[in-house]
Amino acid sequence: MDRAGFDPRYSPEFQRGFDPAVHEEIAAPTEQHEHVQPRPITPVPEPIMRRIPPAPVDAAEGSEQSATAGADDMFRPAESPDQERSDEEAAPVVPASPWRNPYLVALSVAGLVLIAGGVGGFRWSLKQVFSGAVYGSGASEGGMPEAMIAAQLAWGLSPLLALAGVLTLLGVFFFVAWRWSPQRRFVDDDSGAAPPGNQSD
Amino acid sequence: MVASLRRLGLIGMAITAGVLLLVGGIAVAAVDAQLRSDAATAAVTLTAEERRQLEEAGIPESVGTDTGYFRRSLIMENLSSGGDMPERAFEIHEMEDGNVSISWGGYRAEYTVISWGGWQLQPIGIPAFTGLALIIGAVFAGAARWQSRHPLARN
Repeated sequence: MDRAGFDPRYSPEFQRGFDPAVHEEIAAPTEQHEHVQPRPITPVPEPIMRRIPPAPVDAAEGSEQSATAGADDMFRPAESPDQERSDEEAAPVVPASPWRNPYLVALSVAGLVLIAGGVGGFRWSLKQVFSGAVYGSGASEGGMPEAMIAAQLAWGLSPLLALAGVLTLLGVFFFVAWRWSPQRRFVDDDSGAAPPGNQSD
Repeated sequence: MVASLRRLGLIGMAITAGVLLLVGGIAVAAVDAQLRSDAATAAVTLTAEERRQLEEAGIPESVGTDTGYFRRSLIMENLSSGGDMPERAFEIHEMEDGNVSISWGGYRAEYTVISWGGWQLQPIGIPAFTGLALIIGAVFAGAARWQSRHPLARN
């Protein structure tokens, strides 16, 4: 049977000129509606939970709040416990300045003292020996052996002291470079935590 | 013994060993300096026979000054060259006509010179330097372990 004359978009029995006796065969297949595939269930949206606004401190302040303030809070997504925990971990923890380390300060001072002592001791030993200061400084013949022993010790150990001082200062600089952090300013006991926006590093 | 060492900790043991090495190294260096001074003194000291010869020749006054100068020279040459200390720093010559002369520094002809480059590292200074390095290293370890007590500080 020809289905011409009927709009294929609609069922024939509801169109003009349809005769159930004549067009029964045409109408029959139309009764077998195609099974509509169920649409997949859309994911459940985030639950909208009302966030309890903080209690107004002052009645006047409470009255000055906008009328939509409660609604704004109400439609904010609820905070999960994990998010709260991450907020706690993101507390303003800043690295301490290496120069607050008393060991490092002591090492820096010791390095400078070792260099100065080593250079000074070596110069003193040279003066004692080559310029004849063992006699010239008024030392007696009996005190000369002690002065010569001290001069020998200074001659032998002073350059090693200066070398140790140089290596100590180098170590201090390496230590500071190791602990240096470009992200945050260092904490100072007097000023407290530095504001995050005041980063100059 | 073991318990006391554990109580000291690694840093404490390093500092203790460093102090012992430093003090012991300085003591050893002082003993070495004393021995060098004694050897130099012995090298420039006149024997009784030599002093009598010089007195007869009429030159004993200048010997005292020369003794001090050459004693210092012997010590410094020994320090800077690393060679051996000569047993005698002078020679007394008796001429055929009976005159007596004394010459200093003749030992240099047979002197063992390792280096004339001024200061050089001597093995006697290594223990003291090692002790100092141990102490400084222990303090560096303490600096690495140090943690700030500031509530907002992170090391």
